[in-house]
Amino acid sequence: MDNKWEMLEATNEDREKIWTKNRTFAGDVWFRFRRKPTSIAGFIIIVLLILFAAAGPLFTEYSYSNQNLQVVNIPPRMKVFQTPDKDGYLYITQGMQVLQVNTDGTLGSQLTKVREESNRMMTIFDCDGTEVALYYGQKPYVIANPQKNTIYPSTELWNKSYLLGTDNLGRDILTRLMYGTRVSLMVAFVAVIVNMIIGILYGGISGYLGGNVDAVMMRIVDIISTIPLTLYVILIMVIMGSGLQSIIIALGTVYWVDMARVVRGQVLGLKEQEFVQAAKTIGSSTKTILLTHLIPNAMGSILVTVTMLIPSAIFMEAFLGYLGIGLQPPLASLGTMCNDATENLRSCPHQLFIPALVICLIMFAFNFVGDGLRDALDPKLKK
Amino acid sequence: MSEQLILEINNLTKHFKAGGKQTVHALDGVSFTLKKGETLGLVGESGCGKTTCARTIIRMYEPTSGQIIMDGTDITELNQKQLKPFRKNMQMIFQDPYASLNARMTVRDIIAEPLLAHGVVKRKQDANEYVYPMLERVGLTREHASRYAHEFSGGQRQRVGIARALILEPNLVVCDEPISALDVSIQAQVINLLKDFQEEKGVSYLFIAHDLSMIRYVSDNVGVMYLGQLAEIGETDEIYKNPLHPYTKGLLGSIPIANPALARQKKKSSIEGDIPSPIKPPAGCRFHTRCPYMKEICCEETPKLKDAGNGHMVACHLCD
Repeated sequence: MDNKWEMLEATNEDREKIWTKNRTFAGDVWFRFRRKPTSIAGFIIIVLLILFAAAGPLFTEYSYSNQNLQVVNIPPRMKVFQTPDKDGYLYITQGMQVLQVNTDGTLGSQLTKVREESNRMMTIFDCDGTEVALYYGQKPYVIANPQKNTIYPSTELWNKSYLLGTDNLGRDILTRLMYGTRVSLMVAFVAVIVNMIIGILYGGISGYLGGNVDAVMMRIVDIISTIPLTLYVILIMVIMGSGLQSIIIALGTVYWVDMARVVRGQVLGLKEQEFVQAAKTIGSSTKTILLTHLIPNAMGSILVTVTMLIPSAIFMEAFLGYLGIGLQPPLASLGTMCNDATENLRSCPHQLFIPALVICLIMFAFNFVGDGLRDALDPKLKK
Repeated sequence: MSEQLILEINNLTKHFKAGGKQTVHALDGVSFTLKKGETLGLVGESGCGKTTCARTIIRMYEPTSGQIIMDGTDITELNQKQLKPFRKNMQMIFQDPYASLNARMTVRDIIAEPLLAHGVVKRKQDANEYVYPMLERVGLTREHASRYAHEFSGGQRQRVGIARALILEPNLVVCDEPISALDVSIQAQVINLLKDFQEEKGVSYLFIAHDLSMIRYVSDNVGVMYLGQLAEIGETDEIYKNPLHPYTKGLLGSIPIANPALARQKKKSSIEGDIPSPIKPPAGCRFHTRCPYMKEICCEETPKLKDAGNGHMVACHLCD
């Protein structure tokens, strides 16, 4: 075109054309979801946690219930002393025993005790034919040469046998963490299913039908929500025995009430909107109106509620476990692990710190993902 | 055009309860008829009951009393289930094209909804053979079918709303201010689309609007409403050329004239004051509080709709 300012011929097709790219709904949601770094981070953390919980136990040689009383309360990073013949290390356990540690950080067996020399504040152990002394005249205790009264040089080593250490019964914390995460995610899954099915339908029907139906349905919700969850769990445990199934049943029977309230509120507002009125004049059935008009439009609040409820369900399980009315030993959940760890918090803080960190991670991840999903599912926020 | 009556409204009344013992007299004893292939325009100020009238006819609201007769059947007492076969024949176009389309549905799903609701097609996938021609008919293309409503302009959205209302080829379409949310160039586009459909399929429209010149352009008959009652009803040309009710005169006097020379000549005849509250409508003629020709009888006796010749009905004591 020579003259840039020449009038262009506008066809009707040009006028009606929408210039943005056409994407499927799923593609659209994914596009908006991945623009938010926090939601992607949360999503990756959740995937990793699921892998960790589901596939992790395949790669560990320990089971969550195997006790090894020789290696109680070992931390992930150990202070060790060189053996007399310098081919390994020695670690002093909290039970005043001495443990052989190989140079690569894996744990060996306990040394046999030869005799007690209480006047010299020493316990003599036999290390491959040489006598070594555990000297307890100073704190922290040291390994010394009983003949020369010299302390063996010490160093710090990562624990390669138990990457995250062991608990007070000598169980591998990493393995128990996998099973604990499994329990937490299962609880989260149950909470989501229950919310999505019972909560949404109950709230939706209550809000849409309104009037007396609404009043009766909401009073039932009020009654359910006034009874504390701990009481439910205890009552259900009396009948069914303690364990995961009791917690899941307790969560399943009551955890949908918040969702029902939120959905009802949303539906009450939405049903007066013109597109719902339009659907009524078209002659669409109640089911169609509820499932294609009301609930998809309430999805934003539903997702926010779900993502707030997931951490609270996980936390509820952990809390019940911590109180001792959740999972029973030797089963592991993040809450019971925290509970077990409080006994020797001063000497082994890692036992509390690690499961608490995982609880935090799960909660953060779900909150971030929920936040991202809410924005992503709203087509009006399309960019 | 045949003389077949599509819709007959007798004494239709709708009262709303408004907090406590108060009642809003939104619609009080309105009667009119609508023939096949014709358009009845309803005009009046905001709050005069036009939309209530439309929504009561379509049975979005339950009428307090009166009769709605569609195609010879009284549908006033039918429940929503019994009403469903009639819904196929009466559809509605809404005022706000932004609020009346579900933001979470594609245009295809929106237009296919009536087809699915009335079992014209059994599955969503089969709806395309109806949806595509309809889209092209309202000036959109097939590519638009998989788009969401918010991606469209106001005019395009309203055409989607029209496509949804017309896809079942109903006998009666209630248009509740279908053009008032659109700008002028698009108003004409939408109106012409509606007129074309009328010529093709013989649809009847109950057309509600503020815009008096637009009503004149589309309607065969015009009804003027004031505070829940019909003030005047008759053929369009008759009403516009020879308005009898003082309210109609005032309304027509408020139409702006494009030519400033003519506008200056025109005597000002607009109506003073505001519309009274429909909770306590004035006794007698409801317009008497604002009527420049008010007489004693106007405060005491409610005027009845009387024929003033040529089917021109008016409710005013001055015209007795």
